[in-house]
Amino acid sequence: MSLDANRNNSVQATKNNQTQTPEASKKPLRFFITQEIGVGASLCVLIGIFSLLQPLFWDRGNFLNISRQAAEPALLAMGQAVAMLAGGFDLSIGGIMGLTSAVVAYAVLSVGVIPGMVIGVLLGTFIGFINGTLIARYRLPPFIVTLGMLSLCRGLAYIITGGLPVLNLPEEFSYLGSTGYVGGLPIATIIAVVIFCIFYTVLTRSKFGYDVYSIGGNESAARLAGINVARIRTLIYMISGSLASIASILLSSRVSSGQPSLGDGAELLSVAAVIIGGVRLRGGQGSLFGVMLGVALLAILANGLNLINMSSYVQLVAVGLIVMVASVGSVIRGPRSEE
Amino acid sequence: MSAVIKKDFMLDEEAVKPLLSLHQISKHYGHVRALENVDFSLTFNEVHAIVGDNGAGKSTMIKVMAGAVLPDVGEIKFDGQPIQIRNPQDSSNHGITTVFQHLALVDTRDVLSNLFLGREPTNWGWVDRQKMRDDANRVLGELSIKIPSLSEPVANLSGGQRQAVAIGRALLQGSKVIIMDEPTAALGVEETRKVLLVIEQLREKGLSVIVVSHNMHHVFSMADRITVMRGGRRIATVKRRETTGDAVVGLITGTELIDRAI
Repeated sequence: MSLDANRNNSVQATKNNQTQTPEASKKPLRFFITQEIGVGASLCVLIGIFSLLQPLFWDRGNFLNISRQAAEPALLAMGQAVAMLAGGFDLSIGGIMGLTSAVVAYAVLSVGVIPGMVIGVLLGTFIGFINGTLIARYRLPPFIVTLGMLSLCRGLAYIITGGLPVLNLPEEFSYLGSTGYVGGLPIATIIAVVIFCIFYTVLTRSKFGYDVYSIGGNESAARLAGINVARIRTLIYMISGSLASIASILLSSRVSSGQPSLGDGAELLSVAAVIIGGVRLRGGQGSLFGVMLGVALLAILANGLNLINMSSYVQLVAVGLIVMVASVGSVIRGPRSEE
Repeated sequence: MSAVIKKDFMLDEEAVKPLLSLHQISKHYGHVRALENVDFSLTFNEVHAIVGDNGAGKSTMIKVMAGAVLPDVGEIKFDGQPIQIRNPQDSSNHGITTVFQHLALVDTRDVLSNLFLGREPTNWGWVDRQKMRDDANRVLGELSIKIPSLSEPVANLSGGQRQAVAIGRALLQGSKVIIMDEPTAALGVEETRKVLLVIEQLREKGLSVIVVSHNMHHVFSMADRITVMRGGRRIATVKRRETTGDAVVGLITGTELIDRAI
């Protein structure tokens, strides 16, 4: 990796020692524009097409609906983005959602709505802590650990519920995810926006955020510089786990039940949003703002395809194609791929 | 041989007091003797070149000081005090910074983040970017290699500029000793000139620099003293002003008599 970089540098250095500097300074700006503007433009095109095909699409109620439907994917994508920026990734979020949903439903029934939800978030954070510890301290590959955790959590969720939804939850539980509005906006949307603001600031301005980007960019350099890589690694999986459990609570609240199968396929959708948002596949580069554009793109695509009566199978194909196209962009955009 | 070692150790009596010194350091890898009873001293405010053929022990020697290699036996002293260097962090805590050939920079991050990597000034966990920018401009402004912009990703910099970032980081950490491994390898002519200039500037700032190099021409244009390694042993330490390139090459290859070189 660094060998490559060095070779490129030496080639450049000898080729065009003087003229290279101004060129180099233009490069990242250009790519920045391509990425964020590119996703933004695709969004506008999609909105235009759906509005033409289906008048119902261009409607305040529908946009509110999209914003609520996008809240959970946004939370999941943020967790995934933090993990991927630090050079890891989390496939267990779907399992965490299923288990959290089941546990929260029982907890709400036995200890009340608020304590039940707190238990849910603690559970997600704890599962993330186990993921993080196995990956950071015992150097196990994130792929294996989180895939195993996905199966483990999903299995546990089915075991404790017997495979059936947990019903008869109190009405107040539905407030967060479906009936609650503040200032005309769904509460789930507001929660997602607030959490976005928090993590955007943390990633760009805090020491923790700097460490996340440094570890993702060059882990050995980060370690040499005295960054506690294991601690940061553990923390990112705790963040990812807690955000997955918050998303799960919002979704469970929307359907007023505990669903052990909740979050099936969530890992792919979150990775998709992160890649569309322009996060470098190996980590270290990308912004949470881009990731939110990715979430919006996927949400509008799903909503629009529904409204023009396309089957959900078509959506699967579309998401797959978009992810592949976006990851091509991510590879080309990488800082080392000088032309 | 023993007579010779005594002779060139007179240099140390001349020098006031070594800042960083190695005493009887040995490192074996199985039967391979990477280092054999090596003594070495770096004085305050000098540029000290380490030369030698491939496998002479130069790299192992600087890795010992950088904390990347643990010696089997021997002692390291800093400012006269025995110190332990078990890992890169220990080395850095003693004010020793190593600028390796494959630099420990994060390519995807900008110059500013790399200058403060792992040591960002913070308020309650929030990074103080303004202070970073001020300090960075102050330190980089003093180096002759110009960085286009603090917000430039390091991946877009040339080899010399990357070295400047690594050196800038060392200066910001308040390092007293900078160890450079082949700083001029893989650089163009103009960049090489600038890196040599930067090494000169470091000496003017009162730092001590250890440079490993293959290039005799560069060594003679910057070093105050030259230590010659061969087969894991320190063959000689000579003052640049009192020797010639031919003599040092002779020492490296083993064809030159040590007395004539000094």
